[in-house]
Amino acid sequence: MGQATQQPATHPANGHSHAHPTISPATYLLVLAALVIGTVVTVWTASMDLGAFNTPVALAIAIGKAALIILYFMHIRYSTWLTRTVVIGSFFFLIVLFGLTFSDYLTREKTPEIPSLYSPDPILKQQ
Amino acid sequence: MSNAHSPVAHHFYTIEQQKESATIGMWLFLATEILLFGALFTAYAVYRYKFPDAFMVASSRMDWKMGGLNTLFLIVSSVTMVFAVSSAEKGRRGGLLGFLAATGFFGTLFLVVKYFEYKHHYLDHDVPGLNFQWTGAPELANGAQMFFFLYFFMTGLHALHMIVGLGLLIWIFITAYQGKYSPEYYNPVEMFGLYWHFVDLVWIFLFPLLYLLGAHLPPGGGGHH
Repeated sequence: MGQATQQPATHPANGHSHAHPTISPATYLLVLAALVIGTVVTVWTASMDLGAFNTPVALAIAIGKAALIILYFMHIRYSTWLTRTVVIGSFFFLIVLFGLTFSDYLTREKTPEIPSLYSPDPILKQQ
Repeated sequence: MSNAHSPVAHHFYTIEQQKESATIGMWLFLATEILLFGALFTAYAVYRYKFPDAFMVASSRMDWKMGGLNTLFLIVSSVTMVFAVSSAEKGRRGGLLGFLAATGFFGTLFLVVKYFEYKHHYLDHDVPGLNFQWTGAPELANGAQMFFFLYFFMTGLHALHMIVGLGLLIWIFITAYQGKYSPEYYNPVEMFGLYWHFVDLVWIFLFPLLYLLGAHLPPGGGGHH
């Protein structure tokens, strides 16, 4: 996003000393504008029939909005790596939750019948 | 108790260490919240996968204008909250109180809109377990009921977080009025801000997933009326 470059000179890399530099009101207002535009675009794209792409588009915009809030409003852009690790870790476990659940549901009906020594012989069964 | 005149509690070496400890503690709490709502989003995804058409048609019974208005209220309240935190950081008590009040105002507007939405759904017989009636295609009835169950559970839990947030906001406002915060110490204001933004974050995902699935369908595309 464009407003990312308009930050005050302080960089997060210094790690310690001040928890975060003062973020200018202009930055907050730019993020506000981006969030409002994102909401309008979400409604606009939802009004069109994009077939299978409606939800991916909506989720992509939502993730972008969430990233802006986390980075700027919740100050993660200016936080220490220790804090960032906790943030990244919480979303990592969310991905584990989704990933393991859908590795089950998305494969349930497509798993072929596996011939097994222990299953009844289908030919015998038919007779 | 710590030295009454020092903002650093006795078990911390520096104010930076104290602040980072509070921030990490708050994010650990938010991690549990992310997984709490994450489980509900997973349930939503599983049932939507099972009932894709019913979810789309049931969602077209939502009023996206109300949801969109509430999205804007929450975004604006998040911005007033960051200005409250930066007012506290600069030691501007008047600004802090004003922006906290604005945050509470927009948060309250959100709940007022939510109340009217719930009331409308109740009158439309959309509430599973209470008065659910589906007059659309009968084969979609079960999936539609599941959609509305998840809608009320997810937005209800979210609204509960808003109510808790408004309660915390009143406490922050009173302590700010009493002059308990300074540029050296305003951790409670900032940690409350993290909670408030998190609640906004959840709504940013709830809005498209609950309100906009059927927005491309013709008006009155499903359900009754």
